[in-house]
Amino acid sequence: MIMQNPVLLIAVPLLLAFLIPVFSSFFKGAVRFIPVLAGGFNVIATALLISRASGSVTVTEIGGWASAYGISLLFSSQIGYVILAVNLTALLAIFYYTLNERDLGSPLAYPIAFTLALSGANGMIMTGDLFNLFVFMEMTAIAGYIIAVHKKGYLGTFRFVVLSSVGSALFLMATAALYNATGFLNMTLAGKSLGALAAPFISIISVLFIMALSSEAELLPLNGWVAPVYKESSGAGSVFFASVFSGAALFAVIKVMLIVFGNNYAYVHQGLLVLGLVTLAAGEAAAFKQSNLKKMVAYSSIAQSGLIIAAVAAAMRSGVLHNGLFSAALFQLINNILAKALVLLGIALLGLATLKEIGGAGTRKKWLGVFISAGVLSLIGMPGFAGFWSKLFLVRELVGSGMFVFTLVFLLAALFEAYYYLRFLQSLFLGKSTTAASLPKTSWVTTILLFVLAALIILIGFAPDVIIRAISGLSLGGVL
Amino acid sequence: MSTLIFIGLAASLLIYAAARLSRPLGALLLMLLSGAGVAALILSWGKGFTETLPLGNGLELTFSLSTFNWPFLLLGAFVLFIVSLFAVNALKEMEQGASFLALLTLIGVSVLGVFGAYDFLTLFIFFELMTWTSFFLVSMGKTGAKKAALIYAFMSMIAAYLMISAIMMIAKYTGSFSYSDFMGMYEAMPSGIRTTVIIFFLAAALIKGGIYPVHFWLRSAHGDAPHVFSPVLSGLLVKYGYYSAYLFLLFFPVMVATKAGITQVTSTNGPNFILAFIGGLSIMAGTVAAILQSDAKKLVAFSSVSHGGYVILALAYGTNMAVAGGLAHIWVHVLTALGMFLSMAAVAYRTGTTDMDEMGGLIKNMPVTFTVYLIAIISVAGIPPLAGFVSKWMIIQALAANGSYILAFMAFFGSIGSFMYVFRPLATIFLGQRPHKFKDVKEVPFFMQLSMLVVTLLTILLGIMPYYLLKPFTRIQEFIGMEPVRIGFSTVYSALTQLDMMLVFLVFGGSFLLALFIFLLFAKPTKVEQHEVYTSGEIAPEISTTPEIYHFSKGYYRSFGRLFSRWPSVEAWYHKGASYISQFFEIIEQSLFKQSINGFIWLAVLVMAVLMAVRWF
Repeated sequence: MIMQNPVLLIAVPLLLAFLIPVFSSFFKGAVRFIPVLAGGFNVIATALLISRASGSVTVTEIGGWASAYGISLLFSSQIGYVILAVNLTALLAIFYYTLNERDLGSPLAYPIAFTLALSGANGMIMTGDLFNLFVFMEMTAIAGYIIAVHKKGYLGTFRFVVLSSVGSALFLMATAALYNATGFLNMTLAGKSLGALAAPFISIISVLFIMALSSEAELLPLNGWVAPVYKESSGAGSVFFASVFSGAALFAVIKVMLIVFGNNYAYVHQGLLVLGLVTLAAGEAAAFKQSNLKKMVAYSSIAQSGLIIAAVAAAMRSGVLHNGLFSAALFQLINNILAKALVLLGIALLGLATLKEIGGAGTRKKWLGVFISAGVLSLIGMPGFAGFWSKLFLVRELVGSGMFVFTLVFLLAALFEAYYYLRFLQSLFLGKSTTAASLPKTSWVTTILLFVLAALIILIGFAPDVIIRAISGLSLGGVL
Repeated sequence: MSTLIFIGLAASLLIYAAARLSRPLGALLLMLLSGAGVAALILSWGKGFTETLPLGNGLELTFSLSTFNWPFLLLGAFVLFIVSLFAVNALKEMEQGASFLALLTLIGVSVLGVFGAYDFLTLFIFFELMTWTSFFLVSMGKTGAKKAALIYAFMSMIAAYLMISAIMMIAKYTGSFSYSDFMGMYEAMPSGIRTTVIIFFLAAALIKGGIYPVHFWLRSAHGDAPHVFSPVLSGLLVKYGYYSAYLFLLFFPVMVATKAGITQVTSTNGPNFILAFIGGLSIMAGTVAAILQSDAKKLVAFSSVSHGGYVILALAYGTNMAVAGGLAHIWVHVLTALGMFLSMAAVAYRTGTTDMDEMGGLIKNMPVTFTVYLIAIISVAGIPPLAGFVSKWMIIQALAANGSYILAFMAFFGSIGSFMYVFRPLATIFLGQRPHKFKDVKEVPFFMQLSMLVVTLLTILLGIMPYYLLKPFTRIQEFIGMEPVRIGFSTVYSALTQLDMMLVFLVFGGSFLLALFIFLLFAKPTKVEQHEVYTSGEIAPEISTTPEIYHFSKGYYRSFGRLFSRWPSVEAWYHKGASYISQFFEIIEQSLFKQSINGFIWLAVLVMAVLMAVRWF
């Protein structure tokens, strides 16, 4: 049945994005409703696909072309949950934009950018072809350039453009080299034929891939753009960066690592492990000193990306995928996507920028304060919220595998993260604001949006069963 | 018990709503809830149950009520009952009283979970709940509370992460989180892992219990927290540290070990002696630091450090007398912490300050508060016939009977030093000359007096009839297989001698009555103007007094302070370390995230080169 084809998750938003300028010339409302339509369709389609999916990966060959000649999409219930989280937060961000932020300059650019980004993110997560991944990366990056320019974020966006272009160039080089050497663009097939190649060649290719994907996945060394872009972008825009882009890009990195370099390339994963841990430590260290809220969340996002990549690399270190650690890392990814979206939307609704300005705002807008607290406490890993379980499982798997240095770095980073987030909550509820600005009014629809996210986080916190069962026990069987 | 937890969660919302309508109503609801808890626990004395709450996926939470945790659960319910009774009046001026009460209810839930846990996952979950709720509660205090709360949360999270590492190590070797599996596999675990687990848990216990040298968070947290919350912090949350030490020093090892030679001294066992010595250091450091404080609540905070030292010393020492004394001292400390903090809160309620240098002569205005404080400090100093004497007697008996003279000296030091620091608030706040601004201060309202008097009454009764204090703990000793201390209704029997508290009380009471009798019949007091008593009319400008002020409470122990001025301060080390880390983080941000394109590209090239070079060589 047509609804069983995951390509719709990519194709429908893409089509709708191109229809926006067409419709807008005779129906002004189109600009408002089409992105919402795209997001809503994606969420519902993902839910339907998950309900029909199984734990093992199904490969959909587009157009009927066999994998070696065409593009294939990968889908499973585990991948489906990541897509669901990404699409859900994208939908909420689009809703938020539609309700609150339509004064962002060009009325056409942002809806198109959001919808394109949605399509590209879904593509990045699902595609099984390297060049296709490049195409979707470029698509999301370009959409990201548009989203990053809010009212005055030109310089930050310019830096983002440069770094992203460097990443793209490296990725293209690596893909071309791999294609030339193996004759395949398909990830699985290329990965299987790597064995015939010389080891130095493989190491160079792997380094190029890692560097290339580090730009959008917010990893060192190409993540210098993150903080200023988050700071200057709009509420919906920052949610797109934190949840949609970084989630999709992280999953793309994971996919490339697992499928292309999955068979016994310990040094690749070892290098990525170290890179991830350094990113984690550097991100938390930088976040600690921030007084601008969005930059604080930006560096925290960088650190969490590093953590997730390090955990996946650790899962692959011994050559065979360590299921427990891998599922814990994916659970952490999903929790981060949800919690970051909640926190960023909440901060955007407050309309205030720094710790000092935010003093006491949580007492003036109680519900907003509660929702932001739910997101923050989940990020810190407090029980009653989703983040607790993912942190717990990560520690369990790490200690169980004997990775004590990783555990130490992780817990130290979590310690400092708890400190500055708790400091944020303190300011939110108990400070005295230095500005006398009155807080913008929040419509009840927006409140419902935040409520949905917060309820989801608390629900997973109290009953993590459903997600855990769906996420764990996955094997990329049939593809690895 | 899981139903109780859900009731507690729902109740916190209900209490929030009620408190928004009327603060006293919310506090009354909490009081009824915790009072019901106290009653239920007293009624279930001797009974026990275990209950499992499955969470799916092989995870479950296990709760248990049994002899080994009954006194702690009772302690939790009791403290909340007293504090909420006190809060009926005391929360009037607090800005966020409704959130305060809701969070306090959540603390009750978390305490229920922590003390009632029968597996490590449950323990950890409710410990973390306790951490973030108490973080918010401490933050609600006066200026400086926010910084204090952050330090407190930071130290608590260190303790939490030490615990979770140890718990996951346990889970790896025993395959589950439950206490019974841990005890079953205790002998079979590799000794390196077992030692690491015990050290991590004990380190977490020391941090949470506020023992030297990880005690520095206590001073600001207790001192700057809201006045109504400090009793909970000191009387309840710190007890988690003692409970954790009790589990790992006593409950687990002794349940597992053979029953031979239980009364033998274990302080010669190296690690235990180190821990006992740390406890002794804590006693001395807490005492000295308390003497140097000029804020009443910070003084009492250091008193908590000192008493924590007694508990750890006794539990680490390990003989049955020491253990019973240490466990009883936990309850004694609860009562004294409540007494002292509540009376300080009462004074602050009426005068608006806890700075001892500003006050004086309040005995005329607040006689009930004075009595409460007096009884509390008599117990703190370990003076008969109150409860504090019983537990300290037992501990010192144990130390002396086994020849540990250094540790006995430390225990004595704590007792004698405590005379000095407990007397200061008495003299500077209640006695002496009353400043003009406090002329019209009234006694505190009814509910606050009631709660304080309940504590006082219990301190006296448990002193006269130590049977009720000690029976739960001798039952614990029987339960775990240790030979229990012999107790009578008001008598405690030790290896050397016996202590009959009823006799002591009668002697003290009789002497007091005799002295009262003589005083009333024969002594003819002469009333004098106050200033004549102090300086015979002389003004002392060098102490910056004015003609009206002759009450010298400023710099009360200044010469004593000079003795210790060059001693190392752990708190200063912490702050220095924190500023170093802060600077280091700044360097990281500057070097890795500097905003220049050249910088980014160079960084990328560098990382690429390093990654490739590592592979090549």
